[in-house]
Amino acid sequence: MNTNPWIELSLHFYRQLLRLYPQVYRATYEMEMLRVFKNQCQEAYQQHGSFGLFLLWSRTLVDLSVTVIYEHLSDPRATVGLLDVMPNTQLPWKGVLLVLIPGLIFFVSQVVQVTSTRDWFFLILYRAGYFLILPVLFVWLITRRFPVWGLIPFGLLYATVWNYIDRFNLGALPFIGYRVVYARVLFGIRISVSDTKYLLAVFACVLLLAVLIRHNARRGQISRSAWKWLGLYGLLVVLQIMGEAYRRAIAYRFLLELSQESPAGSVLLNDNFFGSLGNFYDALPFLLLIFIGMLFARKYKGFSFLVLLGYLLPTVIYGRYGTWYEFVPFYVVGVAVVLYRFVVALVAPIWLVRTASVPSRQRAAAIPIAVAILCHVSLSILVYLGGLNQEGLPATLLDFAAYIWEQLIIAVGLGLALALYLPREKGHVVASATLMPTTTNF
Amino acid sequence: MPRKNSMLVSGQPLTPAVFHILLALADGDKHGYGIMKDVENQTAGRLKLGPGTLYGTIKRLLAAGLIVEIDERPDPELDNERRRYYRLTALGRKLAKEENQRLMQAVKSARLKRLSDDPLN
Repeated sequence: MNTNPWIELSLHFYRQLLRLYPQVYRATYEMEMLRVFKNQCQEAYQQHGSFGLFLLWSRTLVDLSVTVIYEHLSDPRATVGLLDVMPNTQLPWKGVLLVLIPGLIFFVSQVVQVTSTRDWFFLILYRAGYFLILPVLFVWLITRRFPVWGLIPFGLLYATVWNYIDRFNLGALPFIGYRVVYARVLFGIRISVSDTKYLLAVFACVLLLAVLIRHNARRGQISRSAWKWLGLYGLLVVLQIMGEAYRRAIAYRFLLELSQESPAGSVLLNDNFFGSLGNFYDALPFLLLIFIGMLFARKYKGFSFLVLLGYLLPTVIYGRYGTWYEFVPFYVVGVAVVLYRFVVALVAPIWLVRTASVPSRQRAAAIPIAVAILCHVSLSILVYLGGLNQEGLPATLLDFAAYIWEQLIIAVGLGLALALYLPREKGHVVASATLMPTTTNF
Repeated sequence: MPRKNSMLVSGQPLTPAVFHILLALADGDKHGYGIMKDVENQTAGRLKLGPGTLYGTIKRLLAAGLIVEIDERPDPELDNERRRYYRLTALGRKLAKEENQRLMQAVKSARLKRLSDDPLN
């Protein structure tokens, strides 16, 4: 027949592209589709020459892109492992990709950011976080079932939205004129109501949390052990706020002295007491997410832990290699960041879904995070030894304790999550000692 | 996730691709490329099915029992390749007729509302 090189080349490429279709579909229709495309090529070339082939390809690529996705999602075998995981079996590559793509993006962006000291990581965090949920929603739309592998992008989206509220002061919108209201209270600290930006978000968070806790308590879904973890979590948060207020008071006094010598110091005075209440802003959404995970726990049980892993994915572990960390050797930060990302984004999810028994699943949740947190704690120690805190002021033991306390709260949160998601397996309660603190900044 | 395609049941409007493929097979058995050309002719080139859409739709029509694959070749002399041929089933013909009725009704309504460009109207 026709031996035109353009047609031969087109057929060669199309044959390769057909590999994108599901295997079963390909086995049935590959040759037929190739024949049809060959006929189309011959006709297009006869009528319009090379330009005809170009037009044909432009149509064919659109057709192929849409139908490949549709066939994958509508093929019964294609969704195996995408919607549910099957421990101790071969990993379903589609499901793995769904969860690894966000992980890989964050992993690469973090490496680039650390090595270039640019803000790639934050760009990815605030932009890509939204879009990584799209494939999951697409699967959900087509199959009408939420894929278990989509729990990580879900947690990631949650974290991104929460950070957006903070970053763009969205919670402050209803509080008109908040910048002009000031008061003086404890320790003579100047209080700006600008921190009302937290209030709306915190209020909504508390409300949702109350509804979820009440709902689950009525259904008997909260075990006695879970109540204890919840109480401990609350206690640690209250203590954290008190400690932070004290820490800020000391910092304020230092800055007050500083301001008499340097005008720049007075700018920092706006870092006020109300800011300590910002700890709520970190602790509450994490707690809320744990209870949102309960919505998935009825079906996925321990796999709901993937939501929390997704949430932890964009957390900052010295994400910006700022000037105040420069005394920490660069390669130490780099290695810690790479290890952290690798574990949280790639190893932990795979390990979690590969395991079958409850104890091994608990280990799969706790140990990788424990390893990851060691990176953070090590860096915190180095920063403390280096002599400056996040504000660029001389670090105190209190600063260091604040870092560690934050990790402790997350660790207790993870204990609560395991108690909620895997409640009825007696004899396998995770001891607090196995749950090392995790990341910084929630 | 095998689930019945809700678009391929009696009483539901058919997609253009489905309707025109059924229409293409209404006057005889055809292979994929034959169906594709017929659809193009029916619609004066406005609907050009790609191979993916064509065989994806054929797959669903086969599953719904609206068409069947046949072993015999309408004209073996003219067909030296081992192509698959498809034939409209009674159910497929019934659905195509229903869709035709629906479209005719829509055209009638359009004429009544003077939306038609037909000079006789």
